[in-house]
Amino acid sequence: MTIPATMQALVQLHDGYSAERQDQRLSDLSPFVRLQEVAVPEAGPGQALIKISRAAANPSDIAFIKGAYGQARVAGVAAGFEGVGEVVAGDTPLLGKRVSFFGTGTGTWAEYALTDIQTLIPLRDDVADRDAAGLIVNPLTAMAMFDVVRASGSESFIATAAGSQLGKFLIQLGAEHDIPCIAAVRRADQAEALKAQGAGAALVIGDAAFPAEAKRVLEAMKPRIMLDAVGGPASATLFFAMPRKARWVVYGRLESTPPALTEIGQFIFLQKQIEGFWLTSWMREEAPERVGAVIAEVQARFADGRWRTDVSAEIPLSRTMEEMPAAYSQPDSKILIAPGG
Amino acid sequence: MSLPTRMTALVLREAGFSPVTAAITRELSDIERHLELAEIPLPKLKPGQVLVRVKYASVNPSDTSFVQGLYGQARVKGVPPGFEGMGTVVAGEGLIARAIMGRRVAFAVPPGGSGAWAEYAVTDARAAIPLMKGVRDEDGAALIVNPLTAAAMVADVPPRGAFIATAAASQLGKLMAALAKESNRKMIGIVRRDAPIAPLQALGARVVLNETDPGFEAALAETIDQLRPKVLLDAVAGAVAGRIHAAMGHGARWVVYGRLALDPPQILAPEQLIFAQKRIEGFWLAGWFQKSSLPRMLMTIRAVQQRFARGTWRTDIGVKIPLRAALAELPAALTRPDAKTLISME
Repeated sequence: MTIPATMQALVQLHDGYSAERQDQRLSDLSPFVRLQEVAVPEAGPGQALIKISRAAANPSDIAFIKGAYGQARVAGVAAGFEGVGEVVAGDTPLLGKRVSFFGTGTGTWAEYALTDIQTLIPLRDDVADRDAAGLIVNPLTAMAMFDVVRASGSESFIATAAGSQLGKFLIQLGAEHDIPCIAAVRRADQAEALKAQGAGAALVIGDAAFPAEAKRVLEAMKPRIMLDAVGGPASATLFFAMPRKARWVVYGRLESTPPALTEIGQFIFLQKQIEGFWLTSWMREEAPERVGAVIAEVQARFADGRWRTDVSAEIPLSRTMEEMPAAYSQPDSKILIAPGG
Repeated sequence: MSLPTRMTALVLREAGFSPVTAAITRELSDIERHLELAEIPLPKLKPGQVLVRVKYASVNPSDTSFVQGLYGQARVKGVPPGFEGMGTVVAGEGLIARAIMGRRVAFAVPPGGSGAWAEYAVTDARAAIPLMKGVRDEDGAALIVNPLTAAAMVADVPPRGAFIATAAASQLGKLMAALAKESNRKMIGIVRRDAPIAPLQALGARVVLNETDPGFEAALAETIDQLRPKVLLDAVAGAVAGRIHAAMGHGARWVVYGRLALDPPQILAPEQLIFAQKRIEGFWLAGWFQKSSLPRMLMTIRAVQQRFARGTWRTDIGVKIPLRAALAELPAALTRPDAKTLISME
């Protein structure tokens, strides 16, 4: 296969981190990235070049381009953390194979991306591109955080923004292991849909009855873990209604209003605590065998249909600047970018 | 000496826990719902325990939370609360009990034991601490919870590491400054006035910053950069604590052990919980008790006693309330922020 000299890519406009605090909302891409013709990167030692067929756009990508992610931006380099494609260059037996990967060298919002060979995940033929494009960020985070729930011994757990793809994975894991997920969502129709998918209970944030209903449900189901993608005031309301020894595990920041810690006594006398979860830290600190086993398990779930990625929009790379903000702002969006489109 | 068969005590009116969403008040404003004054039989001793005729009992935040059903330990209806006090050992069997019979002691009440807000209380003989000459009764009544809290929290800071302590001018802050210096840890004290800065530095704090200074944020950033504190020991839980935690580096733990502020803090940078592995937690003395060894606790208390005996330290007593007046007078006494309240059985 011939590799062209240049390619289309959505390249970052800034270096480093944002000086101001940022959330994960998006109204306009142009302050952060630009569609541009750039040189196709060349694979160095230990690297592979991938011709991308689909890339994912997750809230973590948005946080990253806004300079609010735990990794510094590099101006002129393509954005985008994960994708699926074919290995077209590099010293690896996976040359010519279809892989899921994390763009450690250059980003996935481009026609080609560079990554470290050891991050390549060879794909089973029965895993669709739709699922393979987002094989890492959401599914692995769901599996790893559910490990946290299981290790805690809690009989149930809370997931906020539970209508998201990640939330749905968590709900299914909870149902399978008989550790029901209490789904916190923003709309009543989501609540019903998620209960039908296996959520043990659903709470509609913003409902007049929310505080009373949260109190009733949490007293009955006693969740000791809250997996929180939002990091806002409603999360704090839930946390302070949870039983003793509850842990609030923040893994995203969909809301910009900082939560207030109104019931300080609960930290002291009820031994509650707040912590974070970051997949990058988990992969660094977890035993490699466990990481490998979780990846295999994720693929098996997509291959046999237990899991399925509900794509809300597939956007051609050339139209991303115009179409992504609106598509991303849809509730529970799951966006793929298609370079060939 | 002959003991009566019955005693006067404040006893719990409720059992178990309150729902976590119940409002908790520092001043115990709904006291008659939780407590009543009663005549009850003297508590029975188990092997290894001694009976103390109480003179003074402490009223700590852990007590007021426990009484309201919001402490990590279930209440037993009809039993007196009160985790700490001082008095005279009047009964008990075994070698240790005989050795301390008739002595003036400080004591802590074991979980489930009959508490100190009564004329008589139960403690483990090994946990009854004979008071040195020169230690006032009032200091003896507050010898255990505060000093052990200070010692346990300082011990939680990595050796040779640095930590930040808010409300550093408090009794507990002074204890921590001295303990930090002795154990080769660097304390960064945060205060609200200039007056306590020099005394705290003399006690052993490495740096003391006044949070009301205009240059506070810059001085804090510079100190953090230099000493790299990983722990914030926080008695205030106000907006400033939230800002300090946000300014600290990777892995910083915000350990809340008190609440002096009325304005709740915010998590200013939730993303730091994710990417910088920061945490927010509470300090739980009972948990530390369970995992710490008795000799270590006794050594800590001995060191503290020596300071009281020499007059280096003094408990700042706000009010002594007679047991029989406690229901009426305790809530008002507890509104005074910095001074200690004692219940007196005299």
